[in-house]
Amino acid sequence: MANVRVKLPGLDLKNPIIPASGTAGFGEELASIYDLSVLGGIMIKATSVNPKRGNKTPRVAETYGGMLNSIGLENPGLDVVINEKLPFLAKYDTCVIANICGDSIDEYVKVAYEISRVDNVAALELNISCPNVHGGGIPFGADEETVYEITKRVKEASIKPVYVKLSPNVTDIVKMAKAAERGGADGLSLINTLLGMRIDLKTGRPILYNKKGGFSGPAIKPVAIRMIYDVYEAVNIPIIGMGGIATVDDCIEFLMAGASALGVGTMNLVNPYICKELVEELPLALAKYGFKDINECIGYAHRK
Amino acid sequence: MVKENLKVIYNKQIALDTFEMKLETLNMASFAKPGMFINISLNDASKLLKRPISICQIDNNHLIITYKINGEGTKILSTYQSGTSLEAIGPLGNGFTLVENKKTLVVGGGIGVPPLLELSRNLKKLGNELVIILAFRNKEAMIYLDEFKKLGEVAVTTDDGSFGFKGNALDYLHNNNIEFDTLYSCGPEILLKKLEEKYQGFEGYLSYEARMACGVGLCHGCVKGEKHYCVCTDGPVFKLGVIYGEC
Repeated sequence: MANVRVKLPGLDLKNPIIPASGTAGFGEELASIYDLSVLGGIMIKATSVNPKRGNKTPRVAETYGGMLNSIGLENPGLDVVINEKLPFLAKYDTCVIANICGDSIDEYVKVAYEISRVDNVAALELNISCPNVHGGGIPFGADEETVYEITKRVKEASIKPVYVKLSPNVTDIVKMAKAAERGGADGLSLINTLLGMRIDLKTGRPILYNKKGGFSGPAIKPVAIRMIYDVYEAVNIPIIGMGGIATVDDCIEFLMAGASALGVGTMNLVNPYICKELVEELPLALAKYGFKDINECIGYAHRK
Repeated sequence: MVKENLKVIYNKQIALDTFEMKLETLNMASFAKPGMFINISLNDASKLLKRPISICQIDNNHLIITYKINGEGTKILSTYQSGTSLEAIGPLGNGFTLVENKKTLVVGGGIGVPPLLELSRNLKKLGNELVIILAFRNKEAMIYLDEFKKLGEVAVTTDDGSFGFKGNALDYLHNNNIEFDTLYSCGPEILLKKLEEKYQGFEGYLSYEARMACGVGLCHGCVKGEKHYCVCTDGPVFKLGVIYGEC
């Protein structure tokens, strides 16, 4: 059995498995399924200053080996998250990573300032990449200067480490990663969903009400692996890897590509027990591939 | 809720594009109540999401689900032979609130009929008098008529008039004044919406359908109503008035 404890800025993780933002709500539903304390951490649903209703339905659609979603960052707003949602998670021995979003840099700064001051928030994840919100998603994550600026401003406001969640919907993700690092990011998480679309053949119209949505699930794994591999070579801050993790072998592959911790997203929606199962399977799987310690596996594919 | 590999006992066509599948469970059936559903895997990695299917009958450690081929997923489901093992989670959602010793009106539309069978059996056991309206597109799509006849007074409607009353359930209700205390329904959204409007203020329990991903409240993909209730965890059965009414 290999050691699976791993340390990242602000995150002393008993294991690297973290349900990814938007697939675990604020932990309440998962907590009725298993004890959240088994998890290394949990990434809560993106939180904005004011409540967001999200997009109209249909806002999920299946794709080959994956799915599209256009939930649209539905959340109850900062006050409810701080006063009701985060206190619930304080009962569990797991690192809470607060995903934050906004329609303006000022909104990100306000959420970061307040949420980082909640005791049981271990770190922030800056969602600059959700493709669903008009005016809020793509523009922040797709421009180097904006990535630098927003990271810098959020870092100034936050008293906890900040992980910048990068969008794959860019020409060169390495440039965005470097811009976040330059802005002071303590770490990165990648990848968010790829922008996609499906058309209903019976109606001849897009399935999603919002037409386009975030493409996720096992089908996107090779894109995530490639991007993590490239970013790992280019930056000196740790990466929380995500994008299609479905099995314990996927976990090993992400670690080898350069991820220090692992976000599991869409598979929670397929099998709500998946994170608990991966936590149980990972030590044996690492040992099977010859690793005594998870830290030996991180970036293993980059060895000379 | 539990996760189990369910064993297909049989999977047979019972009407046009409509299949009945009996599944052997370890413990899942013991937690099931009328109106709940299961999320069942298709054993096909390209069809990632489990399919939410309502429970039609509960029999000791067995569950019977009845589904209509409506896309690639249900088409695959229809090919599974007895002995096949399918991963499922369930039972999910909130079932119907059961009243006692009342006059109940049960309205089923199309593939919304199956969950009403287990419901009606339970309602009858609880001393209720049942008036049942089953609405189908045509005679070929008709299911469970004999089973429902054992439970109450049944009227069948078909859109094309190939069996029973010609028209839909709402036309039937418009032409026939039925007195009742409590309404139960499952069927197309337009039927449920019209029933909520027609019977505003009545006690009623309506089971809604939605395009769903997780089935357990994680993704918020299946929301309905002004307050964005999750059909999976807040429903699928909602009190009359919650989705399209005032309250």
